[in-house]
Amino acid sequence: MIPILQNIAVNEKKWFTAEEALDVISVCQSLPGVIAINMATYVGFKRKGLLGSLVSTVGVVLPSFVVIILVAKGLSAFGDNPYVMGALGGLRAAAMGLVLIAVYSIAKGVIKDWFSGISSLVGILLIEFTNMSVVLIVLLFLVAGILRALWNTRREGGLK
Amino acid sequence: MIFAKLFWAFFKIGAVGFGGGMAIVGMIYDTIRGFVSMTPSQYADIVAIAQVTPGPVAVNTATYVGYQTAGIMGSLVATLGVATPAFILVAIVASMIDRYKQSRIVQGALEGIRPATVGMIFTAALTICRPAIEAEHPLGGSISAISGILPGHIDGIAILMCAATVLLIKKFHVNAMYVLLIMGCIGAVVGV
Repeated sequence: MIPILQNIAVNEKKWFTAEEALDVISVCQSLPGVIAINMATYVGFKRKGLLGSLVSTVGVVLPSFVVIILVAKGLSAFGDNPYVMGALGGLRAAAMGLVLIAVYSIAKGVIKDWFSGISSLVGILLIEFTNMSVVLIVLLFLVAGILRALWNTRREGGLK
Repeated sequence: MIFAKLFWAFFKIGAVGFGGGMAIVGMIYDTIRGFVSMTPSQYADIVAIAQVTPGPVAVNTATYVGYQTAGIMGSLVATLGVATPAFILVAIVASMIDRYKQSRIVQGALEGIRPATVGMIFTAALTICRPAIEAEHPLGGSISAISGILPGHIDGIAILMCAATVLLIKKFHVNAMYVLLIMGCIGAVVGV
């Protein structure tokens, strides 16, 4: 989806230069949420302000929303058909493959040294073996990151 | 009341949904199982469908969970909830992108959440793999029962298909969407 958006925004509609587009991608990736939707919001905002971002966000979410509703309705009618159940089983197996690939690529991207390795392990342990909600745990890591940045800044002398 | 709960749950998920779609998928189940009655197996089915339908898997899952919980209004509320925080953040950042990129606090926060995303994707993997391996209706049920190599509740065919998925995507660089369609078709042929 990202290459499609990139192509439309840079080559077809000339909303951004190629360089700006890279900037937008990296920022949208860093924010929470789904990068493709974030990019749509961003483009809408840059072109036509708040209303533009609202329109483009709704535009990018609406088609899949409708499809999901239709599929959900269909499945509640045909859900116990053996072929449908088999297809679902196949998709569950494929989902397992996809999530394992995601585990590998995220871990590879994050774990670079001892510190990141141990903090990742702490993340896994906190999420899996405590009753704290994942939302809260992510917030704790976020605050810890800010404190660490402030601490480093202070040690280097003065806030920038 | 269920609508307020759904909205708030998905709003929280949307606000800290770092690490991409699959990581968010684990967070969704962790957050909703407190007030939505849904077995891991039902949830795994929803995720399986959410990734083969167009659009991002995290939002599709939110829509589907909302629909299962409280009909069309539920899906609307869940989708709005998960999309709103990112919308607000992107709109703010879009108007001050240079300050955002240079801020040490932002960089620190982003650096800080990275290890948490490893935990998130790990949970997502457990959430998705457990019901796929210990399936209620294993694929090719009769074959695995006859062969008797694996305990009855372990879905050997699903494990093979999972391995094939990884191989096709990582080694042969087949588009994930095609792989999903192939696996769906194989599943339908093999049956349960």
